[in-house]
Amino acid sequence: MTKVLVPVKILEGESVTPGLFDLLSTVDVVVLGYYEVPDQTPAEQAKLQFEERAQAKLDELREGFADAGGDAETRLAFTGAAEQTISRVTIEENCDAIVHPGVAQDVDRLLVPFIGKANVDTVAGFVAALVGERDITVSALGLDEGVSREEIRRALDDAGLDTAELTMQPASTGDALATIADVAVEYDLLVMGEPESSLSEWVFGDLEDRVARESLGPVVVVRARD
Amino acid sequence: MSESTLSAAGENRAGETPVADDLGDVNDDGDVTVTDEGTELERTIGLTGGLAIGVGTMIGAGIFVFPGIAAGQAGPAAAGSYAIGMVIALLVALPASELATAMPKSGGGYYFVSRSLGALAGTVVGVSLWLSLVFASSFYLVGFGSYAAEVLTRMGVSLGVSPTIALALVFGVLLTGLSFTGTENTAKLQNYVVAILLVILSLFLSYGGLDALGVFGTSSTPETFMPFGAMPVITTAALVFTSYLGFAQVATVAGEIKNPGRNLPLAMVGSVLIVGTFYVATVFVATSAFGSAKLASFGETAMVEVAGSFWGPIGAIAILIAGLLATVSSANASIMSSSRAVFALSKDALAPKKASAINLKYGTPHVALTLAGVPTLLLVASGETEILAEVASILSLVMYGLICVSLIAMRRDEPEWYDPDFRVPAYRVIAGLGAVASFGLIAFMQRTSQIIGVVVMVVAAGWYYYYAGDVSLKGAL
Repeated sequence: MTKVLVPVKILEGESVTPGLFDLLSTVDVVVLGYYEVPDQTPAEQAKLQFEERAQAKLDELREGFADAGGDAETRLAFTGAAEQTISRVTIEENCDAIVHPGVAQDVDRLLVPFIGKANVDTVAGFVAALVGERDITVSALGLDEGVSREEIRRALDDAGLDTAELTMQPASTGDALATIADVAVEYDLLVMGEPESSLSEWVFGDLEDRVARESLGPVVVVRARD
Repeated sequence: MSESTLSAAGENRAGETPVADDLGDVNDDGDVTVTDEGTELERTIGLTGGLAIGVGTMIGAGIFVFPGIAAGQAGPAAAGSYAIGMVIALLVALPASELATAMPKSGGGYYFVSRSLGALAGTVVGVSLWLSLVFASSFYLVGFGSYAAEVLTRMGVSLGVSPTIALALVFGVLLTGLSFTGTENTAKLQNYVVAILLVILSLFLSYGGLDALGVFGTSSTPETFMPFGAMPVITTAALVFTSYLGFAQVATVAGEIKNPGRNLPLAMVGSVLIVGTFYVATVFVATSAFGSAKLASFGETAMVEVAGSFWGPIGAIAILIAGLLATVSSANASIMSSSRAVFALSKDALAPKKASAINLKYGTPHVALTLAGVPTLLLVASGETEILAEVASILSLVMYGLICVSLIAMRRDEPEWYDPDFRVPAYRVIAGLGAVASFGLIAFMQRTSQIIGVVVMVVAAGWYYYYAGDVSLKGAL
């Protein structure tokens, strides 16, 4: 079954909006509540003081997912390096994607920008699993000069996303980011593949920041696998 | 480790009890500790980070403050004083490594001693550790002040009075303030600072070494190796021992080190070997370049003169920058370890729980940082470099000696949970010598420093009986 990781800064007001509970009800969810300590503070010290409060919040999230008909496991971590923790848990739990929770409305329109060429099939397969039987409009946006319309169309069709609309707008990487940011405003959710650089950079890097600023909605990053 | 039968017990005057340690197990990759309830504590400091903490804490003083003073006291044999210091540090680093791999928890030396020798010895060591880091930080800051003042002088700024203490204070306030707001990348920054330092020093020492051997002209005439005899070599070793306070800081962050079984011993022993080598080489180069009497007259910024004599103003500037970096990194690392010592005490109810409170907004332990920062600033104001250094050393040496005793006690009657990844060979000999040398070195320090050291320990013991006489920690995990 498809599994996603939802990292949440559990004590800093970051939470999961109800829209996300519904959206993710078709997949297995691992909620990683974490609190990032600065170098001055041992993780253990933060745990002593905040563990109960964090666990209570995490339990609320689990119930949220359960109420939406989904299934969520929770993990709680105190860490000096959030990126390290997120990529470790992603690998341990064998997650297919990482969800960057934004403000999720009811998801009707989903955008899939294709940048990397390697994981076109993986991304398409993930989107199909996530959408399931629901009535969600999927739009694909081909941005990579190296990937042809035919390749993307075939991947979408193979995944069962025959109805997905596909626009080709090949651009250099820098422009691609701007293009996504422009288009993303009209969508409720973004699903994209992981490019060559590491997963964590992708989650926290430039693109996510810019896209999140424009769209405010959640961004799902699908892991590249060998 | 969760099968330990003994646990910490008792309550302090405020009715607080030691927090039960259920710190669970380190996973196979060594990058996370999972507690019994399943909460994960990420381990984020690798071998490089561990070495940077050790080297970064130590290297400031040994190279950038002491060579002039030491050469004045012991002549070229000051290199021998540094070597003696290195041997003693190694004798302690080995037992500390074993104990740290058996108990990879925050608090380092305090933790081992309190678990093997009990709460009274633990309190004395915990308080000593905290204050030793406070004394050391202020000593580093005064060193920083001298370098910053030298920079001003060279820029032609003249203030009439010496700005050393004022600069040290300003910078101390800045560092403490920064640590309050939670600088996220100080550890990374520390790695770069240490790397830059080692590069500058290596260049400097290679050139200086070749110069001393006569490659670039006439070989310098060796002066008498021990112009003042053997005794000053030992008292100087006692003085410059402050240059080795730092390897044990690696143990204070033991709870955060990745793959602790391997990285803790490597980082502790490795950092002593690295800085020891640099120290001995530095003193050799410095005394060869100038002769010890002249070197002594330059005082705390002697290295700047040496570099200036090799490469002119550029050399001097490079060493000035290195000195600023080194003293800052030492002070910064010490303030951070000091707050971890306070945390460890408070977790065990030997100090009020409030002392380890974390500010949710910044995520920093503001009370513990205040307890580290404020006394540091007060001591900086005293400006007594040598006393500050010696008191820091005495307080640490007591802990070092007790760490060695702890190892012997642990090994003689090994509890079931005791399973270190690293075992000291011939432990009786090494830990025995380590204890004797640590306690012995204290005898060679100045009377004033000894008195201050004893007062701190007596007050710590008094605090234990007053505040937490009911708390027992021996054998508790």
